[in-house]
Amino acid sequence: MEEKKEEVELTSEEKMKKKFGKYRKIMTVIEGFLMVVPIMVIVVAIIVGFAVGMTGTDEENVVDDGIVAESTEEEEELNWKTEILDVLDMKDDLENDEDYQKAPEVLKNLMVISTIIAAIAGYILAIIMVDSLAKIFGEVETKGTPFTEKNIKLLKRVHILSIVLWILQMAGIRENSIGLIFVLVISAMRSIFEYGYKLQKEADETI
Amino acid sequence: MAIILRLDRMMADRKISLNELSEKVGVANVNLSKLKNGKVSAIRFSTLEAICKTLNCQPGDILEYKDDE
Repeated sequence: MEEKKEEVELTSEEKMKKKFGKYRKIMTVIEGFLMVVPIMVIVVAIIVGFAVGMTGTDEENVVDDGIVAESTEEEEELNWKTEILDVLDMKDDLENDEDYQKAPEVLKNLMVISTIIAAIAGYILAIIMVDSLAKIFGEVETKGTPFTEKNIKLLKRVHILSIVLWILQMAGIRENSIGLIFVLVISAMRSIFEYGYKLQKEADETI
Repeated sequence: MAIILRLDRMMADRKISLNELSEKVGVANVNLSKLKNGKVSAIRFSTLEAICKTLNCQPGDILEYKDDE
């Protein structure tokens, strides 16, 4: 009877390993996709920018008599801000944000920079998240349990990054509560994994 | 630790090797070795029962309490 039971347990463990192996592969594909997309966007932007530069002149700066008008410093400053935010799809947020309109110039710059950093950090965090998930699934695939020291370290990394992202989001233009909820979910997951690791260690030491 | 395992003594008394005991008890050789060297923090009743059954002894013959102080 005991032998049979052990056999069933073994097969279920193998099934679990197989299942998590599939999850790991899916995550690896998503990670690859996430890493390729920005490179593709940059390449396309360079090609398009190059093509536009070759064919036409900057329409905004051309005055009726054909002389290219010099843009003032303020306009230039606004240009880089709005252009970058336009790429990040946040131009409307900038125009509609009351705090931003009221804020002094130095604070405005800080807000824009922190928003840009938050957007980039968010994307990097997404890649790290998917990478960490792939590693966690890989750990289950090889060791048969998700509660390992390596996984705790991975979750710690994601937790710290999520806190940084939340702080950046709070300082930026686009304030949302998703960042805070994300931090709380990750911190809850981290404590669950730490407790799981403690129990796993106890179970492993029990013969 | 205050609890000391005397498995090696019992095994010597019964003249049984580690491999033989691990086969009869159904516990991996590595784990039994850890048990013998006292490198475990807990033991299951089922394991203790199997060892006692194989060695024909009492749990008290394997486990011993020694005051740390």
